[in-house]
Amino acid sequence: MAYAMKYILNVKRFDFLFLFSFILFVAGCTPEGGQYVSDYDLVYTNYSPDYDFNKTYSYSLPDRVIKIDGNDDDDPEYIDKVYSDAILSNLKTNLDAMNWTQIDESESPEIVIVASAFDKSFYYYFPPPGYPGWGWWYPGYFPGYVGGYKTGSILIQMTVPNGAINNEIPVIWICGINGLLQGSTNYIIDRIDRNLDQAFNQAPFNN
Amino acid sequence: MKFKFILFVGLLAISTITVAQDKYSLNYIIGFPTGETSEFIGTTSWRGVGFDYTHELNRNWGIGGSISWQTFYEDIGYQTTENGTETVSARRYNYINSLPIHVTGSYFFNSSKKELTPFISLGVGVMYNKQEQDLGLYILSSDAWQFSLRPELGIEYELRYGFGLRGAFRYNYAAKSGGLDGLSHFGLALGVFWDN
Repeated sequence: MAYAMKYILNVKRFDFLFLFSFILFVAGCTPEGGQYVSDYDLVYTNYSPDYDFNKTYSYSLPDRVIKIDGNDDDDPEYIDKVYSDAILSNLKTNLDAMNWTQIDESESPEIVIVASAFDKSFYYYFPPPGYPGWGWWYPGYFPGYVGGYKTGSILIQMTVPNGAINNEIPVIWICGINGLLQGSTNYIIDRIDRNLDQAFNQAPFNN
Repeated sequence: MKFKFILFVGLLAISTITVAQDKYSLNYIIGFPTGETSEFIGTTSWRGVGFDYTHELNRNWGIGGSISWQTFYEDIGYQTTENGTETVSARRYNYINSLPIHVTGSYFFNSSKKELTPFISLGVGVMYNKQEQDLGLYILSSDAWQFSLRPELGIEYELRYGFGLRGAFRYNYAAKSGGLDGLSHFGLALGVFWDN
């Protein structure tokens, strides 16, 4: 009888281990998402429906892309020139392709492009689609000073200085590119180019 | 008379204990999305596991419980979607994790071949569903516990006394609740059973 009891207990233990190992096996098979760094790239654009994007405009580009580091100091920092040049060169290519005219900022362009980048994510700044709290107006000349966290993000904004009301500059188009800051310089530049091109293929420029 | 009564009750209790057995089964489950589930994910799930317990009341009837887990996944690819003035482009991956938990009642048919036992079963319970979409580095996720019914049709094949193979086709129905659509699916459960 004692032998039978022992046998039953062992079987039960085996059952439990079998079940446990089976669950672990299936848990191990839980499918993964992206395989490559570029699989995590995301392009977000939004625009003011009140602005006429069918017209052509004069615009100015900044010399460098501002690095947003969350420090509230007077001296702005800039991102590496190699990435800055890649971003600004792509913007010029896409804007010129729409027959917009680049002029110097001192010549009062209709649209001033503001480019900034984070080596932190701008999750708080860049809510997912449908998320409330998005606004078109920012105080000061350079909109978009916010804190954030990890990953690499680029923020391009088209502002209209002549439309300023109460020292607030309206933003008529915004583009956020977000991805993992990984890979060689060339790989990152390639992704910047691809994603900025995508931004100009989205509304309102895809009409 | 009193002695006869005690004997009667005692024999009845012993016979019940003798007949009543506990049956366990472990299954690998292939999941087929249906309804709202198939609108979110169209592909078959090859990732599922389940455990069933049945307390046999007599030769035909049993009550018990069932728990299983099914993971649905689909790589939607690079998608551009517009919502008003907003546009988002990213590679998207859709996931649904389902955890049906049911109290079950089963009926085992008598068969001309004694090693084959067809059965039907109905489960009533809840299903935890977690629906998730990954886009870029972002995750949009919602989950809910949903009321669930699970009709099942199956067959057991006894290889030796108290042990055999088991196959069943089941429908895990989930009712819409918690702001989440009812995420139902079919399951083909293949596994083993053993008696204790």
